[in-house]
Amino acid sequence: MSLALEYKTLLERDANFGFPHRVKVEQGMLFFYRQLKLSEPKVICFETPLQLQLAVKQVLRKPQTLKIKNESFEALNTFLKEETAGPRLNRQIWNEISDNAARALKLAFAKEEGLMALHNRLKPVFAKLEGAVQSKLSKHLGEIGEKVELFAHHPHYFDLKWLLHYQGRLADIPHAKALFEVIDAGLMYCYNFENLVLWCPLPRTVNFNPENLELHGEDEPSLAWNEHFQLFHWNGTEVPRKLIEAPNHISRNDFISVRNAEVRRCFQEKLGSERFSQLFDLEKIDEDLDLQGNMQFLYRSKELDNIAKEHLHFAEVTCPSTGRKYFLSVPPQIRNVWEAVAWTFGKTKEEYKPETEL
Amino acid sequence: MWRQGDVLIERVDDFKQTSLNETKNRLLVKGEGRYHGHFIVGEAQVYTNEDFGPENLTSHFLNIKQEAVLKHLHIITNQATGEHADLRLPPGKYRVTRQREYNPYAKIIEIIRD
Repeated sequence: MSLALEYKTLLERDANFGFPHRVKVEQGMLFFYRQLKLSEPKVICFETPLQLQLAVKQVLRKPQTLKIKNESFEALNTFLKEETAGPRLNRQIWNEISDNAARALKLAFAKEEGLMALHNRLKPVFAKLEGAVQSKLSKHLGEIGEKVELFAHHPHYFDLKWLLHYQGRLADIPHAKALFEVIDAGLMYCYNFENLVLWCPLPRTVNFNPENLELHGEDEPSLAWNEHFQLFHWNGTEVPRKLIEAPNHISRNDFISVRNAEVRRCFQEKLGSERFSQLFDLEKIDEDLDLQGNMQFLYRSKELDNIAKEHLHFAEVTCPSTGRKYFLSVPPQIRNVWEAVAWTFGKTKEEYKPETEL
Repeated sequence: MWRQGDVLIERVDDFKQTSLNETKNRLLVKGEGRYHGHFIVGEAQVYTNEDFGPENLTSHFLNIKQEAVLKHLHIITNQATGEHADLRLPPGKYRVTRQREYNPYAKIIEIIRD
């Protein structure tokens, strides 16, 4: 099995996430509450990490009436009308798991090797997934003036990085067994209150590029929980949904309005040079070797752009480290490719003399 | 003058300006697309330029006491991205310049975000 497929299998949950997985997560969570000598909490599953964030905020602040209407939020609203969530319990659950699962496993299998190897193998891929999700959450919550609430550190899908090493040998350590069942059933994040547990599952869709193990979907989401919470990546860079799902409908303005150079480069890669040149109807007006011996070009649109009312000018340059090509838009009065590149750093072509480009 | 991706580094004699603020943050440029960033590692004082923008592309000044290294790292894991080699900077004072682009539709100049 390729690494990309292995990670996909590990992290992806089937499209009909529900029974019996929800029951397993609930049973596992109840185990920890019983260990802490607490009464059984209400356990509610939310479809996506964003819904979970909004649910946590609703419990913590209770002010807003959320527009999302689904079974989970109805259950939460019903609960909050009748009961209180109680104090936050993430720290206590964390301690319970650290003391009785992690420490017990280390003692039981003290001299075993391979744990760090597994951890190190999974860490970069988990970091990519986590970075993508946190970035998406920050963006969505930032739009409504909110910040991301930290989820509980345990249980957390990161626990797979060490639990998998002991898989099949957890029966004698009940805390570890319960934790593994919760994570294996598909819990990604949770948030614990004394009387309430809120959680969400791992994505239904996970796609990596097998060549570089970056999040990547050729014509589908790289990560998807439901129809509304989906992420689209091109070789690790988050890109607009339209580029992946409807590349033939990409317009000039779609490209120009993207301010991120990496995302722009993804447009070029996904569309291909021919389609890109057709899109802007470009002709070459200058070319020269750069310092590494790669050709760099200055292009101009053949006709005046209808919206800009001027010719569009692009410098095509090659990254000396990766060999990737970038199109940089420059002012229309520029006629020389060196002048164009220098302008992007606020220099004249006489001033722009880098000794090294990395 | 050296370049690492969308960052240009130049030696300067001095940087006496009033609009500078010293910062402990070693992340000079935070990429947005893939959680990558340009970090300065080593004995360096870092100053942010409050006038930074499309018309003043100087984002930072560096006062490097001993050799420092400009690294391109993953923001979460701090591992090298492999996209740009390390740039070693000997002791001295430096200006950090960002790259810009022209938006023909809005008729404005904008900073490129890696």
